[in-house]
Amino acid sequence: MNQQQVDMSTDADRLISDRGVPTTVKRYAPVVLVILTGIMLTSVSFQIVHKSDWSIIAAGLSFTGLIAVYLTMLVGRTSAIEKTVVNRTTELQNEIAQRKLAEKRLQGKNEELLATQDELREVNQHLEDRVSERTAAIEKLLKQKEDFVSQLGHDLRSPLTPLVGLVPMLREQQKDPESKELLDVIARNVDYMKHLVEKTLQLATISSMENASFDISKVRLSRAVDDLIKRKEYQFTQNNVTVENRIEQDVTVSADKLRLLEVFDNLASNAIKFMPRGGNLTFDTQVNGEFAIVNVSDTGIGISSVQMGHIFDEFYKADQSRHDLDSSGLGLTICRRIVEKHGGGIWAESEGLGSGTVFSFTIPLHVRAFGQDALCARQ
Amino acid sequence: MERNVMVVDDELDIRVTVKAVLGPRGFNVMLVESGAKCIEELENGFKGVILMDVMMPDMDGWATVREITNRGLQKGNIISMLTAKHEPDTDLEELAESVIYYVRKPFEPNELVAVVGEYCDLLVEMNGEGSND
Repeated sequence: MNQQQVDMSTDADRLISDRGVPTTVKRYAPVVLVILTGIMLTSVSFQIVHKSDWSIIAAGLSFTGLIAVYLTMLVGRTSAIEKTVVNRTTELQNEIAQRKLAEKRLQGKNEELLATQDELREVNQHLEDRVSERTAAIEKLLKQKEDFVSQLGHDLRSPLTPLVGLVPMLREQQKDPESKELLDVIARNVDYMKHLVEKTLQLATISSMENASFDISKVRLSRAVDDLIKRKEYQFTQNNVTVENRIEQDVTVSADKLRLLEVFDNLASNAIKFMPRGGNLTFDTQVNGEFAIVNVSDTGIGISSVQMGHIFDEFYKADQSRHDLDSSGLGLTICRRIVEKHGGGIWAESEGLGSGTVFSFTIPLHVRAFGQDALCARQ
Repeated sequence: MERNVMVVDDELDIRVTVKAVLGPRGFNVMLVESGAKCIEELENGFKGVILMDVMMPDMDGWATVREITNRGLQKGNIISMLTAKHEPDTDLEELAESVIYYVRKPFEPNELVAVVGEYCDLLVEMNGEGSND
């Protein structure tokens, strides 16, 4: 408010200085005032003159003139101020009206915003409900898939049981060479079916497993490979494969040990198969940041660049005629699924056919708790 | 001691297969088609290795094991589940004291003979320890 007053007086001064005294006032007010004041003072002076002299009369007239000028200016200034006040009042009233209008609009906007907020809240709630519904639906589907795999496993394995159990017995009992040969054919195909069913169900189980379902623990890599070598010793010997475990003793990873062994088992079986005349199989590892890179190298027939792009695909077989009854085409896919479920990756490198292959995969290193390093080193 | 084996499975083909594999290898194989029949045979005094199918109608394998345990009929016997399931069953944890292992279908004949032979040896050992007490 004070600021307004200051502004108003400043404006009035400016009006006076800019425009001077209004014409009507300039024209008439001094005359009226001079006449009135002059009459008054002259009357007073004449009374004094009557008593004294003419110099006093002259002084009175001069004073009267000065007062008249002053009054003239005062009237002009007052009039300008009044006009400014009127203008400013009008302006302020307009401004107030505009502000009220703006306030009203703002209030309207606020109400709109509140309504929008309510709508958004409703939409959010609706979305949350839908997410919950979808999550429940997905969980239900996953459970159905799990049940389906379980049921399929049962229904596929059960009819295989008499075949797997009885065919070898019949073959042993058979004396006729031709019948024995026919039973060999049946036995080979039954074995293949058994292998295929096992691998398919294994892949389905791993794929439908949540990562949390893995039994993650600290696994000493070199020990896991030693276990594998013992387990497959017979196959290595039969196929003239020399195995070397170069993995350092202190490398420990966080993994589901049984699943990790499945990876090693599949890679070793693969290497044996592709070293038909025997060869060397080497396990080694490097540490890279938070991961261990495990390399499984063989001196087998190698992989062509065309094959390289497909080896991890489901049901891919290097033998394109697909007559290979020793392969389900799922071993490397299972390896990839297991490694990926652990947060790692898997790949293969080969100089080409006849140059051997190196399969490598990454697996998270075991994170040691503070102060555990010494303990781990001793174990 | 006789090497008694009871096969509890609702599928005839499985029962015939197990008998064909174990019979010629010196095992006395008894075949029953349900959990109820198994309990009946145990009540009649059967002692030996029980190969119990998991998925059976009416009373499944686990329910049968629970009933056997409740009646105290597992004493002097070894129960092993005969299953076509790939993953271990959570019931195995609950009934770990009554059930010693899984035999998975499909089984190799030699593998079945070896496993059931081990159970029979273990049973002889257990019963021997029991009689020493």
